[in-house]
Amino acid sequence: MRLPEMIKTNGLKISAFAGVLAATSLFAAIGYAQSLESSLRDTDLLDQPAIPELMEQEQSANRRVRTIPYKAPTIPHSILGFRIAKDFNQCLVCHAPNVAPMMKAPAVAVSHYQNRDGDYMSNISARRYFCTQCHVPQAVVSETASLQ
Amino acid sequence: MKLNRRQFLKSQTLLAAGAGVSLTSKAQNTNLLASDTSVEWNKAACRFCGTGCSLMVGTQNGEVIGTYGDPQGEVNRGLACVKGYNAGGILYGEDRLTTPMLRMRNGEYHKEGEFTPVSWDRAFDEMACQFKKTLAEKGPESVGMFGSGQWTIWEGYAASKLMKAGFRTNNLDPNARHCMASAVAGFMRSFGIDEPMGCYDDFENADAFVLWGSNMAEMHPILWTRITDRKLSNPGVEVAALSTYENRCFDLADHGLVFTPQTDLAILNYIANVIIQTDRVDHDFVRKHTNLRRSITNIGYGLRADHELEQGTNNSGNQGSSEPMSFDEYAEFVSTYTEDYVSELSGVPVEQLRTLAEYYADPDIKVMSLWTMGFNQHTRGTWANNLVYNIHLLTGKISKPGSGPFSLTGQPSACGTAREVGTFSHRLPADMVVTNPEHRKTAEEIWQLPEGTIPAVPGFHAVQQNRKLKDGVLNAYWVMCNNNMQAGANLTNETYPGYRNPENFIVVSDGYPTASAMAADLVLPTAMWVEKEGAYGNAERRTQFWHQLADAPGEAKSDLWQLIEFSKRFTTEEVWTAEALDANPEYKGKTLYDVLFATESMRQYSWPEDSGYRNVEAEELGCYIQKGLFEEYAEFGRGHGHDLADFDRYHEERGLRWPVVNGTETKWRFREGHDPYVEAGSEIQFYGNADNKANIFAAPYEPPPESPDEEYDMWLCTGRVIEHWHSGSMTQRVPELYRSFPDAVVFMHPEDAAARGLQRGSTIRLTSRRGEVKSRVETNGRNKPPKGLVFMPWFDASQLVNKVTLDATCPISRQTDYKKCAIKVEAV
Repeated sequence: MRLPEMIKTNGLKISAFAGVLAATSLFAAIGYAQSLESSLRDTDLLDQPAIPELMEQEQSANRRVRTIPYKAPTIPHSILGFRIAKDFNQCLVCHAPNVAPMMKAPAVAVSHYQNRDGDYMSNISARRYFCTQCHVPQAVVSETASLQ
Repeated sequence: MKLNRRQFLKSQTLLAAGAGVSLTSKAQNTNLLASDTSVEWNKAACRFCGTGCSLMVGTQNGEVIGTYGDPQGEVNRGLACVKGYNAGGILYGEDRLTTPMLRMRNGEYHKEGEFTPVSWDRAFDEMACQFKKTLAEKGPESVGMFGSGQWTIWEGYAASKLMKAGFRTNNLDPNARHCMASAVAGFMRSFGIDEPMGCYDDFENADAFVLWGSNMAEMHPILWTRITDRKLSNPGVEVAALSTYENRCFDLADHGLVFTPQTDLAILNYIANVIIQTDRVDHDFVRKHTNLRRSITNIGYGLRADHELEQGTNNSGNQGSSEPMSFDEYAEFVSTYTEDYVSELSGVPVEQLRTLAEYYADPDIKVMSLWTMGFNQHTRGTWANNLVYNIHLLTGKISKPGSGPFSLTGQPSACGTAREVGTFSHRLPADMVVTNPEHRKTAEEIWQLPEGTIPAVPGFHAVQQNRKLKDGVLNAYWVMCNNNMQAGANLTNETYPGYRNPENFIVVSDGYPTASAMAADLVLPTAMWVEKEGAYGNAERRTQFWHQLADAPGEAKSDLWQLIEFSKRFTTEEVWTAEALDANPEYKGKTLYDVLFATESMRQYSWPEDSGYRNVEAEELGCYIQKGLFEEYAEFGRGHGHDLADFDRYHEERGLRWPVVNGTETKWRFREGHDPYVEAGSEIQFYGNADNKANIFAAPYEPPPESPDEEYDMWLCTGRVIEHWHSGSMTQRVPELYRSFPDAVVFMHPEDAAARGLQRGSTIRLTSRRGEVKSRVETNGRNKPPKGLVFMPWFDASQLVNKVTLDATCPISRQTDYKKCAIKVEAV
């Protein structure tokens, strides 16, 4: 079984293991670039590489594990067509604290109640209103690669 | 199977996704506590936009493990956007450059050779040989450098000294030319001194915000949180968003105005007309504090002189000139901008125009105007800046808390480095210019140079540099801290040919193999952001410092180190004239390092060994070089309206807004009671101009160089998305950011798509008179263009939209217009 499949199969249970494995063996084996190959394009500048398909946003039942505790988590589901405007915020339909448990969604963090002066408000601070300035969906990476 | 790099990146992100951890975040969530889980936290200015957020940067063993918004940062008070949260990841892309790479064949440099790892010595030997050959054969006009608004302050200052004093060439320009040149020219024409008079405190005090083409929701996200907070927390506060397409700002705006490209000029003159016609001019203010001037017109488009669009224009070099006019003449000039005419021209309904004009005309509304690339990347960008100042000057709504024009900045140190240090081809520090003999004298005195060292003729600006490389006039060229192969307009015809011209030697310093690096002859691996001690200056005149917090990988070295080390390879005899050295024999036999960077003033500060921080440059040079450079640089501005605080204080503060006089920062310049330079009793004093007055300019609507026609039937507008910074060379390598917006798309109206047999996801070809790029259609995205216009971001290295754009500029500021050209869209 290839490593990506193994990780997919075992999901989060081996997260720490996979992280260490990835950070050590994979990096050590490949090392830093000794050529001028770019990870972003591999064709002559005057040509154009093939255009990848539009990547769809990931739809996962799993909540995101925060990579580090103070970092805004990514969004585990698609938000294509979601409306976040001054008169309606579709994210809060599920993530507002009063409905989140019922919706089985994580409630917005307590930090979101602090205004610019650090005082706690009775509702979410307006400065945090537009969710997608910090929280972003993640595209499904469809192109799996052999690691042999 | 060998992975190509793109597949590798994808496999890497897949791993990270599957594992639930980001590989760039070294912190782990486990049920075992390791022996040492402590993290060192320090402040640093964010690496990305001109907002200038303060971030807390967490490190372990010399590696950045995470970042978050600094609660003590006055700009952002604990917030960070998605790029700020992922800022540490930019240091750890798998194809980070760690050794110099020279194109070689049979062990020698060869223009068509393969990139080969070499030592720094070998790299600098070749580079010095090539620069010396060019200097000897063709003189200093044939060497040049393209720098950055992402350079730290001392890097820009060192580059300016090396080029203007060392190599005696003014062929130094920053990528800020693409970003802020029109803002600079606008400030200098209207006020005689650069940078905004107001500050971010205006956000918490304004009644109305007008976005002139600026998509702050994505490009200045944390400033947008301050506008959102002000508007949603204070009923009655209104937001108007003007743009050539609907963007995320329209989600908050009370009024969204979509106008036909270029007609912002007419809308601005219409507002001036309304203010005058409805008798709401602050005549006392206008009489006491302004002059009125008529600009010359029909000034061309900054294209090559033989371009057909330049024929019959007044493009002979004095496009910025103007003559005095009376108020009545000015009133008559704007009187033709009636609501019917402007509505017809711009496509904006009359009702919306009236509402907008009222924000300015009503004396009781405190209004803040905001703009960035919509005005600046404009073939009449300088005029657009001047015209928005007009409507604030006519009403006296300027430099008051909550009321004033505010020119936002794109890059983290476009202000601090490019503008204040003066790394433009015509500038010196503190708003001085190379064409002024007094200014050159001042610089030569502070730099302790022989009289006449700094050349009096402006060098080649950004767009001209590419043209001169192609023409074989500019031959030895150093590109540092930018990616102009991807950023420059008209890539195939005007950028690429110059880099690959066999007569030229191109050096690119970068952290990654960018499009520019791939087209270079020598690539120098560069330490990035917190891998060096740094300082940036943001859009509200705030200067912010950080310490070196992480170790650079391999042999990567900072731009500052590279500039100084390179200077050691030149003697004064090789670069200065015999006459100058005969008249000043004490400079004979010295290196450029000796005379520019090893002077007593530079070496007077020692690095405090007990600081607890590393400082690679100080360790190697044996002095606190950053402090030496900064304190010498600060001499230019102290006592002249650009006062900076003492070096050490910036390491303690979350930044200070200049002028810093007697230890106190200045929030509102020109305003009595706020600005110590204003004389008592003057209320307001525009002291950048000798008569203490600002200039109101009469400048007309003039059409863009290229508009849609039968064949090229659509407008193309280019720009950014929140997830990626500029050319994507950093953010595309951070898995979470990559996956949040993986590839560029073309935002298009669904009916335009349907009319061409296209739908969401279709592969298309965008073609202009200059070239083509392939992409995919997005009809359901965040940007909603009107029919007849498409928007495409330029971050994607595999979709180079600048093959299509036009290299037309504002003829006054020389800044490229990336916001409008004519294209066609076809299915592939």
